[in-house]
Amino acid sequence: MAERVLTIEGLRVSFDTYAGEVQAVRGVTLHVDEGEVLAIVGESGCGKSVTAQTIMKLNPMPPARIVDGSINLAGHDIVKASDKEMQKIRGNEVAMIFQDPMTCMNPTTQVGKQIVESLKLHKHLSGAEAKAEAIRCLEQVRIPNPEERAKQYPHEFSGGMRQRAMIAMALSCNPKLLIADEPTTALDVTIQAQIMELLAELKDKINTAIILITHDLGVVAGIADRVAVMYAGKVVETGTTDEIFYEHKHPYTEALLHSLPSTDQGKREPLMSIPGTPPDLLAPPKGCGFAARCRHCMQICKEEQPPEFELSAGHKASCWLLHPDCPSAEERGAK
Amino acid sequence: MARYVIKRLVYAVLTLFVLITLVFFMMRMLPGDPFLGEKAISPTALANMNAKYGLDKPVFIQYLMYMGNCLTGDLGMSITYNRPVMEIVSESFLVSADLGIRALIFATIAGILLGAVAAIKRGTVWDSLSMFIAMIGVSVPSFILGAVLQYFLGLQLRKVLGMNIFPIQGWGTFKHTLLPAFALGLGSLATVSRLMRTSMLDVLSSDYIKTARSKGLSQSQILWRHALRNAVMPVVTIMGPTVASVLTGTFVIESIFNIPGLGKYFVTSIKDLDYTMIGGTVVFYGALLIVCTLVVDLLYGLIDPRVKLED
Repeated sequence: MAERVLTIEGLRVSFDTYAGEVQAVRGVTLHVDEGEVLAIVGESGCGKSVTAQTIMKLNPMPPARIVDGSINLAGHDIVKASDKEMQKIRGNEVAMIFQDPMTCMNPTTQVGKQIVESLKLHKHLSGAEAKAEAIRCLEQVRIPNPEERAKQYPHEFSGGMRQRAMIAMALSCNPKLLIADEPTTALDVTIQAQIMELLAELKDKINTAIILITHDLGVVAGIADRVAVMYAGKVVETGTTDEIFYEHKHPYTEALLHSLPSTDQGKREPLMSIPGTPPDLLAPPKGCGFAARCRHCMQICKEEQPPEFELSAGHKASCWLLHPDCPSAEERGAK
Repeated sequence: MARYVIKRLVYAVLTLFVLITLVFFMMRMLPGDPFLGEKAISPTALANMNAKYGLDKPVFIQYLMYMGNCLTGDLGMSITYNRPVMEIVSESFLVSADLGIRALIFATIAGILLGAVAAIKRGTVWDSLSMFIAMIGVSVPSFILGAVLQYFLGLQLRKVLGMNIFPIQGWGTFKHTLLPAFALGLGSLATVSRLMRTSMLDVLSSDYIKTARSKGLSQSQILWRHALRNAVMPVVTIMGPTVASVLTGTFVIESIFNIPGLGKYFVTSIKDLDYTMIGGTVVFYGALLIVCTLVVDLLYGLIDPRVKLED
């Protein structure tokens, strides 16, 4: 049985703004096991990144605030951890790579030095040891001529190379969990594939768990073991990748998958899209967050939040349609 | 790099040439002549004087002669002081440079610190305090500031304490440099601190600071290793103009604090229509500014690896 790396329970995160309290994350429960890839998917503004950054307490607090819930990362209670404790955890137990590799590295520091910095901090290596280790890290992410590359500055790297260097930096201290926040969004398609392949390969090699945040379902299909679909600050459906792709039960998951362009689609057929926008989290809806855009919406959806239904071990979805008393499609007069 | 420096030096010589030419002909367009103020000089004496300084020849010939002398580094004899201009300039510039460098160091270091603190403690009392100081620095001219300092820290404080901590005029000891350097530097300090605050805020919200945080660095490590160097970049860019404004600021400050610097000669030579002295001081300041700007540009290339000094 693989060791559990991360457990999040009932996490609620709010931002205090002038306009009021924005409830960005409204009760998220997740877990990730050793060597596993969990993909968190959803539209922009559904709370994916906030959830991920809260695991590392990277979002500035205030304005952000953990309202409720618990985060257990490799035995550390993150919610209670002090700044000092967080500094020991960040980079060591959990590392992160970001969306835009062009702006994520310090432009005035050599790439090698930026990796050495982590190694010295967490592994307490000497200068020479850390340097050798940094070069090994760069080699591991298949950067050619790592010795010379280590002495170069970020602007001398291409976008793909920078993301590789970021991965090298993140994995340098063998973290138990790697959070990849849309790691390929800013890269072109061929580079995307290379980066995802690299991540998959490194994960097996050093047995790191990965949380992959993305809205690219193609990327998910290639690498993820399990998927959590987020909408309006909640996980609406979670299950194995196969369950999410082929046996999804939540209308939002269904709509997301239908929005993917497919090869057998006719040339003149318009792309499917989900009409409307996600709800305003300043004043979250009383009922299901997706009700206003859902084509199966019933009276109860607008009035009460749907409970979570367990469909099989590990496959869960929150939708009133799954309630045993729910009328069938014909009875509801569905289109 | 070498090519870049050579190119800049060629430009510098060209700039100086244009500067000398302009100044030479503008001086001659001024009404009057250097000997006008002296009381009744006999026509023979005047002719002799004119001959001595070459003022009897046609203006264009004088220009060619002056330019020729400049090329050999000879700026001529001062008409008022009857000493070589070069000698006066090198003597008095040491004093001006001393004052200017003190003011510059004060303005840069205090300005960077003030701006950085304001950005890090954004929205707190420290931020407001720093920006209040900056506002005063920007809006109060140095001659008013100088006079106010002289009055309160010089005269009044001496009355209260019975000893002279801040001398209000003269030159020679460290004490004498305090008030003029502060008055001279505060304006630049204000500019530097405001720029530093903006740039620091920018850097602190950048992605690579988030990366640094995600590595587990402490706040102070992030500031010293990652934020400061990047934030200081725009400040380096304005160092050229800052040096210029501090140097030209010395003209006023030197006369308020009665400091025997070059600024004093610069002002009086124009009043006296001392042609050679005007030319000499202008050429000297011009050359100095050109060199300062060049040094700053080269420095920029050293601090920011992305800046390539080519063509």
